[in-house]
Amino acid sequence: MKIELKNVIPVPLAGISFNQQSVWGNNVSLSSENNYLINAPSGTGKSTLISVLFGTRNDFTGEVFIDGKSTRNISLRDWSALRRNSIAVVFQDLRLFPELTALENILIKTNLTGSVSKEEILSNAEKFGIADRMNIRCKFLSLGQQQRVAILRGLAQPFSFLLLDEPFSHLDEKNIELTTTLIMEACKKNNAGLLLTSLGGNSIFDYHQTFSI
Amino acid sequence: MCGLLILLASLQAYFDFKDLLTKKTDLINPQYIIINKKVSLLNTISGSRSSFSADEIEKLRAVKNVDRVGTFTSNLFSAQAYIEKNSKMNIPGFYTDLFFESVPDEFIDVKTDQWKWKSGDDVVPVIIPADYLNLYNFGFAPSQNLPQISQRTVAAATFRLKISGKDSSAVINARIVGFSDRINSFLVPRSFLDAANRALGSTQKKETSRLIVVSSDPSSPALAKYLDENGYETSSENLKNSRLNLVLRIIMSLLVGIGGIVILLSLLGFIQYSQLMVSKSKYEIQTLIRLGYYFPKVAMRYFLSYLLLFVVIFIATIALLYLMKIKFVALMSENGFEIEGSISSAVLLYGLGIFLFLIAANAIAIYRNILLLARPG
Repeated sequence: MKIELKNVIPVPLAGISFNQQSVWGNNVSLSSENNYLINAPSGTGKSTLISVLFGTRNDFTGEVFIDGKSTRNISLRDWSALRRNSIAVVFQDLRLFPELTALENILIKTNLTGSVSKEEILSNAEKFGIADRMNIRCKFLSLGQQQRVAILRGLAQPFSFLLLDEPFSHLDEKNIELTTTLIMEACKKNNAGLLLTSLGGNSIFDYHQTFSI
Repeated sequence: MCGLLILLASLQAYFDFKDLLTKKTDLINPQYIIINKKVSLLNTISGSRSSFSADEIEKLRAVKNVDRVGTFTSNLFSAQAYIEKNSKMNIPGFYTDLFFESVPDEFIDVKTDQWKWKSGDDVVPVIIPADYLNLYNFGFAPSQNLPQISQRTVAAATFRLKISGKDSSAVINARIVGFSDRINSFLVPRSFLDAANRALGSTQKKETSRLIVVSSDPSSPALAKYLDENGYETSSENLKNSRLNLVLRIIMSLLVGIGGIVILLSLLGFIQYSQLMVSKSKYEIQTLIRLGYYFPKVAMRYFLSYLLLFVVIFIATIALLYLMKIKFVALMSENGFEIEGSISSAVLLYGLGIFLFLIAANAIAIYRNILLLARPG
């Protein structure tokens, strides 16, 4: 899968000039064979980038092409297919259902994609150290635990690109290591590229290219 | 629910009253009207009869709300009725010239199995106006110091009937078998009158001077207008109620209108409610769509939960309507009105129509609201 950004500038950031390393205002090409890091302070549009690539925001100038097709021309039906089969995401705000248990939150995704079995989910949860939390409603979990649930849910589908929006902000060193291992395995298995946004340096993955904003 | 109930109840009440006013009771609005032409001075001078031609009868048949038209047949011979004085039964002696008319049997309002005559029968059944006996009992009898007589007494007695025509005459027995409120005439079975007219008639010319009309809606303006335009007269009693009918209709229409407005308001309420529910679950809906659920599928989920609510409301409304109807029937029958005991199918159909309309409107509202959430911002 190939994602191209042609001179994209989000409307809220209009009027700002961007340097050559920025994803904004330049022609940027992202391939699912590579890993990318977006390294920038808060308020510079990292989450906006994720939203633009995921088709939930259209308030930008320029154009984004996914496999040659402008995102503005992708129908809602095609977006839902893309989100089921091609682009996986972990949102910065996690977007879990607080009233559902951790397991139900993941099942609501796998019911749709059918790609990961309940046993696989539970064994991954075991690796993440949250196996005993799976039947607790998400609103009672700590942010770190919720973050791991969100990552598990993000991986519970086939994908060509994985978008991670500050996925480790609430995790300690040991858990970061655990999750990155699992993420790398999943990307390898899916032959997928990765795009990660981070506030500071993150050297866990091998990045083909690093962007600042 | 409130709106649906008011609307359906008004419709039902409308149908009930319509029933009451047009069909059920002779009291308020008989469906039988007797029509004759106005008698003018010209008729008196020229001696011509104000009779209906076959063409005029056909035209009347075609008027809106006219269901059936029956013709009056008159006797074409002279007739005298007399009773020999019978002091044992306290019946005074009696002699009078008479006329007879007949109408088709289906127009007779007297229920009796004696209303038949065939050639060779020695007793002719007669129906007289109920008013006629009243006139005698309360007008004539007191003034002449004669005894009052009951309907039963009259019906028990036979009297003699002398009918005479061109060159022959006959005496036969006759018995009063009933008293009509509807038809102000001396009625004999048509079979008898036809036979007697053939045998004794001074002329074979058949003239129809009066018509009896069955109307599903005798107070309809169309009928009244037609009668007026053609100079026909009718026992105006029948049409008196059209004003009352009109007022009732206006009230019912108002009720239906109010029901409609309440329905519209409740439709707005429902749509706002569904909007509220959708915006309350905005986070969940958007998340589902971001997980890859196609938005119509999400909308369908919401719609199905509303559908359940609607079905419950609809069934509750119909149940309540039934209860109201039962109470209403009880109330009306206490006051002497008989109305249909069940809810009319038209009302149920209207209700179903409105129900489907509400569902469709809500489905569209939900679909649009969720579409707005699915679109990229």
